[in-house]
Amino acid sequence: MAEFPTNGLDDVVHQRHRLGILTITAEARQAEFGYLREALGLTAGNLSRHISVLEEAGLVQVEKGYKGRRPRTWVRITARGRSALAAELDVLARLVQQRSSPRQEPESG
Amino acid sequence: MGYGAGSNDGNGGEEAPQPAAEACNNGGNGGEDAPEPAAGDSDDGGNGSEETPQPAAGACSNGGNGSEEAPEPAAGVSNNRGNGSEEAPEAAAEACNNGGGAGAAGSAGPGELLGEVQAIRRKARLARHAYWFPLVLFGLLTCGSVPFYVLPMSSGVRTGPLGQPVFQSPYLGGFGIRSEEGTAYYWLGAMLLGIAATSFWYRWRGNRVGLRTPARGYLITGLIIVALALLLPLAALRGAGMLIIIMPGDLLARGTFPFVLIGLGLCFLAWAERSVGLTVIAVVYLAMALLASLYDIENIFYNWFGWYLTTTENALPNVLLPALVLLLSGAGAWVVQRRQRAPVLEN
Repeated sequence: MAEFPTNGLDDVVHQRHRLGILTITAEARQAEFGYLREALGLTAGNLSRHISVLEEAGLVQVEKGYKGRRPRTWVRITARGRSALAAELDVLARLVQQRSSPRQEPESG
Repeated sequence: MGYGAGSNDGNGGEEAPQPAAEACNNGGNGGEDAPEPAAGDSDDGGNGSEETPQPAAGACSNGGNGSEEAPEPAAGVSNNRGNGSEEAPEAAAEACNNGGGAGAAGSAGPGELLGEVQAIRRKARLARHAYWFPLVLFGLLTCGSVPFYVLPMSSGVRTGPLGQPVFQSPYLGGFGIRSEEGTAYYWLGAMLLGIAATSFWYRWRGNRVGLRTPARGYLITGLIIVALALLLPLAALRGAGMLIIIMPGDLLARGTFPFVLIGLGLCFLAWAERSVGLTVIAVVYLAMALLASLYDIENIFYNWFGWYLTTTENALPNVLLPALVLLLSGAGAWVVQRRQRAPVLEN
């Protein structure tokens, strides 16, 4: 029996905000904390928390720098993060496919 | 039922009858989207508490997403990382799968999540697109080269006091049809300036918008291309057998091969920007650059419009048409990117 697609979901990645962080960082060399916060509509605390989770899992790297005197935090996706994102999107696509081609059951009545 | 079971509501097993399933659903991924935040949680506390559910609801402990801070899970709670159907009873496992996934993903079905991902990706790409600048820059640099193409014919290869050829790269200056030496110097400087300015531009804009384009690859690739343009002719001098391969005369004779090099750089930028628009522009420009290198475009003007260009002007269409492609597409990209401009980060 084929494995159900959800078994391939990674809890760390399968969270809409963390998925968003990975998606954005996969699009750029580095994404700034402020951009992520704006794009995902998160508070600084929440975003920080999600980034920490991803960093602990080795899916992103965080680099801190300065622009003038202002500290700036840049987030970069790792190769592992890219793989995890690709796997997550693959599972989601399979789920959509599975849902869009359900077993045809005869209509009652 | 969640999306895992193929239902349409995708809201994380809220209707699941099994207590274990419900608990699993709530805690599956930290319950970030659970409706009731814990009292006293602070938005900026840096612990994601804004969306943290009531501690007692924490169930599928999954590490690293809010439920870590929850106390001991309630009885009957599945402790299997939200997707763990292995130990749980079948019904509970199914609901846990559903709830763990959908709840974690914010009560969204997979289709909805994929749609969100695509929207976020599109927004990020639009925010990152800044290719109008290199298009306009190289268009202007091409216009700046016009004087070198209308100068009188070159008298041939110049040599230094020891008989050695003075700086000349057929890739940059052609084959002595025009002022190949001046053209080569001009394009060497123009290419280096264009590559450096483009890299600086992407870095500056990345800092401004908050999304950095991988432009370092463009800088490195551009420098390698310029280095090859300088070194390959030397290699060709040493190995005459390679001459026809390394220096295809038809392609280099008109001195417009720098346009091909610019086109290759634009192709790389299109990849770095992941831009379909720039890909189309780069391909069209590259085709125009090849045409300009292989054919006297003045013939088209003469055959179609009856316009006759003098011998000093006959190279102009080969230079100005590629420049026009760059300038027009750059202007168009500027208008589009200005409309789609991403909010600039506060300084």
